[in-house]
Amino acid sequence: MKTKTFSFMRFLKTGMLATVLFSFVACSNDTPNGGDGGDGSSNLTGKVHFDIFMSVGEHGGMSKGENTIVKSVDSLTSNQPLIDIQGSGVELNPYTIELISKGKYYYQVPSGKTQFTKFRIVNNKIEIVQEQPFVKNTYTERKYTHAWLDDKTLLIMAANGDADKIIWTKLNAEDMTILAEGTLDLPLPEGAVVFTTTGILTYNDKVGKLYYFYYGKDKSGRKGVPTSNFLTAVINPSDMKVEDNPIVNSLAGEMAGSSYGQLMQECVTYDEEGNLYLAAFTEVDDDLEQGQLLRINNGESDFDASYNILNNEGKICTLQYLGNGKALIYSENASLYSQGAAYYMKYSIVDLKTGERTPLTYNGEEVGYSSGRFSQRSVVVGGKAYIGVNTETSTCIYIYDIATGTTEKGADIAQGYYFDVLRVVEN
Amino acid sequence: MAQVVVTLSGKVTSSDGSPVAQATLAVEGTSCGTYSDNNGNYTLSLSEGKYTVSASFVGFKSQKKNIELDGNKVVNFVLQEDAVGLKDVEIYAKSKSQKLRESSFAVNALDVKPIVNSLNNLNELVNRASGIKVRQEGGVGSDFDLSINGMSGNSVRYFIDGVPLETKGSEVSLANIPVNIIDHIEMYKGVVPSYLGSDALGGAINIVTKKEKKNYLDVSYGIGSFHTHKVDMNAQIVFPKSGLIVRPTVGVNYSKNDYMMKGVEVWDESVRKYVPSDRKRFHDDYFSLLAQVEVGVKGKSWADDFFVTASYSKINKELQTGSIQTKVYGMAERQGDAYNISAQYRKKDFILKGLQMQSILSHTWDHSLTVDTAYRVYDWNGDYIESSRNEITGREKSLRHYKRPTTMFRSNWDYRINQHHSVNLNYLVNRTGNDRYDDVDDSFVPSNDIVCKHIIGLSYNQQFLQNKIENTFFVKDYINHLNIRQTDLYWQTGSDEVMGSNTNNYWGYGVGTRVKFLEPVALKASFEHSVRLPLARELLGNGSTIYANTALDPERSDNVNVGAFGTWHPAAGHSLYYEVNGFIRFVDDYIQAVVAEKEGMMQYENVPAVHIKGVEGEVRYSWKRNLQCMANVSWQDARDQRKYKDDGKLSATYLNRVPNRPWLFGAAEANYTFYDVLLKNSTLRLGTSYQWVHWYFLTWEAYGAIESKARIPAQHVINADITYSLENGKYNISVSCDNIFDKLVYDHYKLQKPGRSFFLKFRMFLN
Repeated sequence: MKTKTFSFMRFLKTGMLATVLFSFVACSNDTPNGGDGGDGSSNLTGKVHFDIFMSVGEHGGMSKGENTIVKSVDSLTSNQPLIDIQGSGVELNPYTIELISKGKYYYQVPSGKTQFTKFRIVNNKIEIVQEQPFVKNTYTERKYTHAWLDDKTLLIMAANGDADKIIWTKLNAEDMTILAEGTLDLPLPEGAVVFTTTGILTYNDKVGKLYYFYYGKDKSGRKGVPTSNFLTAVINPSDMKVEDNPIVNSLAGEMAGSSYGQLMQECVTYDEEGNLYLAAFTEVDDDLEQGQLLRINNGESDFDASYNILNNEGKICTLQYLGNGKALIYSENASLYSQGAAYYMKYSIVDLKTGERTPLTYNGEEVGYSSGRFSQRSVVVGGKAYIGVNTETSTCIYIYDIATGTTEKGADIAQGYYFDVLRVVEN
Repeated sequence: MAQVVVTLSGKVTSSDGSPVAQATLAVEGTSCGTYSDNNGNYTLSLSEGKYTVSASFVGFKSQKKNIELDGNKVVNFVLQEDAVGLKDVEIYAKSKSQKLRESSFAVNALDVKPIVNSLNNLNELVNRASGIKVRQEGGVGSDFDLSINGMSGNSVRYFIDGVPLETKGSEVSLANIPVNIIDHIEMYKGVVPSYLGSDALGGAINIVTKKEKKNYLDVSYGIGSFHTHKVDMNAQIVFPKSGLIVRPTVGVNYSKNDYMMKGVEVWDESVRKYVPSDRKRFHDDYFSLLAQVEVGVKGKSWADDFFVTASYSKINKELQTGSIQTKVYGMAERQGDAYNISAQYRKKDFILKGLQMQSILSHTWDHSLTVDTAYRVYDWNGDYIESSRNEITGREKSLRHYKRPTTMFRSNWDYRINQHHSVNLNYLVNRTGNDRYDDVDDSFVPSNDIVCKHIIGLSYNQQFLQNKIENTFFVKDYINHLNIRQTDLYWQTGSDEVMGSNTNNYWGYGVGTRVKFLEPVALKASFEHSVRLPLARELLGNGSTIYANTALDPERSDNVNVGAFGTWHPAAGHSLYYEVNGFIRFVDDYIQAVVAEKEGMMQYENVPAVHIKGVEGEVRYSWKRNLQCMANVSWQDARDQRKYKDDGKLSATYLNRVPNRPWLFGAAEANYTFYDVLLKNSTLRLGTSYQWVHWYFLTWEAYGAIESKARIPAQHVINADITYSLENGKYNISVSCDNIFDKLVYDHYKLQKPGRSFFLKFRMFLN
């Protein structure tokens, strides 16, 4: 019998990282983070810090925040002392790791509350910056997706309780007032009775359009099966009108992280030209979800039919743009997983033009498989990718220099915990 | 010169000449004393000299005699009945509860009958017992979790007169059972007698109802704060000609539970902040009804007891909050209905002299419903906005039904071989269905599981040296019968290994011993290898979000208790009883839901659990019939035993104290009774109690900065009551005040319990 590691969510993704990168390194099609020549690290001192989310006793997913501790550190380089949460770090409770972050702040629809909350973590304390009760549309914890329309406008979107409509709310991220809210004029896909709970929402600022990836199911609940490959709806962010008819993609079954939006794991990214990349997958058999990287070219509404980078080993769980046409992916080896292995996830650098995939190496050797299918332990900032691993032999950070393609070892993380998430936050 | 030891012996009888068993013989000014045996005989070994010896027993007036011993002597006592004394509990007079405490088992017992005039909350009473902690979520009828020596939930089983309480309906609990029908409550810690046929891993609560011989009518009405009303009625009518006995029972509880919630978050648009405010609960009405009638006969040639019982229970319960009080509900509720019919038969000297047979056959139709159909979001002002999702799960509307038909048969055979040896054979079969469906939520996958359990218990009890040594040995056989028909996902569920109809057999066993050569110091120890069989849901999944795991093993625990106790009578009328117990629980193969493979899918698995050790002590003091005092303190230390995380690395929580559970708590109470106050045959009873719980962490204590960690704060709650009874307890009125100082009290994180409350109770007992 399988006793796989916690699989709390393939749902989570990470708007988080993407948005963080926006603010000081820019991860989207605006100013690709890695494209600054790779020397941005020297500018980081005092400007940012890293929040490490570690859970005690069990994974922190599924909105179980009680056992998650957030440890803030200024640096992840190897000269740092062992990063441990024994007697230090802030208890995340009542919030959970399924977060949106941007700049200095975190945003969440908290578990057990009926509001939007903006908070920050300072000096081992959670400081609530502003809250906003629901006014019209209501959301539940971790079951929503989001996009930043600009630095101040946060868009939240989810299926309603009956899952037959898609509702949205625009928030002023500064004071958390509700700017507008409504319901998308989006019909259920043919043969479907419900939408997937959240879908994936992303904003392409080069194009000025929202892209919403979703699918329908023939019945609600876990017994429901998708009625088609996932669809793409293009939405005008100013009036939230759905433009054209949503298109069923012909390349992949589902988008990665489809259940719970990009609240922990990030599966959408952009290159310098404003091309959108999405991690997706197709279920080949019971033991294999074949990973795929798909692309919507700048200005297009549908995926480029000629672009379909396959990962035959298994699902691609996270995707982050590094710059220079390269991306960092965190993908599974389904074969190892089906054999009951605890360590079956690995990081690779993918050339988005050729599809060539290079496993993360250190000292000429591949960094081993990690555990944690639903972890998001990598951030891209200052020309470097900080990559947290939990291999059979170590739990630590590797620092990948985007410009040179070299990897150095960073700080060690204390073992015994579930190292779930790494985020970079403005000071 | 050596003192000459002589024997004082005799017999204790009542005024009609019948022997009084278990009467207390105390030698004043010494720690010497003993109890009369089943024939009323007693023996004391004393040095030659002058003594004052008293004999006492509940329901009789104590008798004292001055005796000069200059050789072996026989002195008999004839006790006069005392109606007032019958209403009291005097440890000195060895109540049933006291006898039980002094058995070889680790057991606490509480006399309910003497305090029933002022009692309105059984949970509160049980919560004051050593080693027991009841964690309530709110006010009257709120959900609660009772732990015995640190083990709770499914680890604790409940019984009424030895029959599983669930036969009265799944919603019948300590929170709503009519208190007036109760004689006493037995709380078995870790080691559970085999005659309570059940798979109790950590302990059992047995509610023993009162047994009156005459006709009586017992009616009470209580009214209290937060619009609380309680009505209890029970009676016994004996038809002399036919010998037919009818016992009707009705218990009704109602409360709006509209107590003030202090400092809850209320949105203030003018400052755009949630402001701490005091607001009354507005959606927490609770109603429960238990109606029962027993019809039967006693003392026939063919049956000592034969009763047919029919009962109906109902609850309606509004839900005010989610798991924390920031999630406010305004429409969701839970309802329950249960019908039960049972037949009970008991015969002494059945087939053989000394063999008692007692059997019960019962069937229950149990139906509960959770209503969550409002698309609203409420706040503590009671205001709401229209929403597009239900209140509890945030999904579509739901009318979730659970039908649990339960058939139970229990047969107990007790054979007393002679004065020293007895054996007891108990068989219990319990077949429970679990039919779940939803009227409006299409996404819910209905399921209909059935699990059948057979539990056989055999015990052997021996007593030597005039009951100075008592040993009990027992073995239990747990048989779980399943019919596995599902074949899909066999690699995940293990159904290929245990296909079709199969029966699993598990053994439990234990031993208890008690040695009491001297009244002030006695020792006892007990051990049980206990078992809890998996539930249907744990074995068979739910067809949607939980995979089956048909290879699931039961939970097992090795429970050890060691204790000392004793009674001292320093002077006439004074009794001091103490007990100290230490315990260890090695819980393994804990059945825990583990998130498996696909996200959101779960499966129950056996995982290493906890080891719990602890110490608890209790002191009881009484003076005559007037004063009773009690104080206890309990310390428990539960340590996580899961050494490795699921990635194979050492877990940081290994051997850490398990969080979110009380680990140090205590209670004290004192009652004083005045007799013949203003009127003859009247009593005035003043009582007070105090409960204390040390604060504890919500999460693992070692991790995170101390200032950031959530805590459940310490509790200091003081209660008081005053009861005035007339005509030897026929008419009674009491006023009680709980939480006198209006302290903020939490048993669970951010779930506020009621503040100060008053309760007025009128009770009439006619016989």
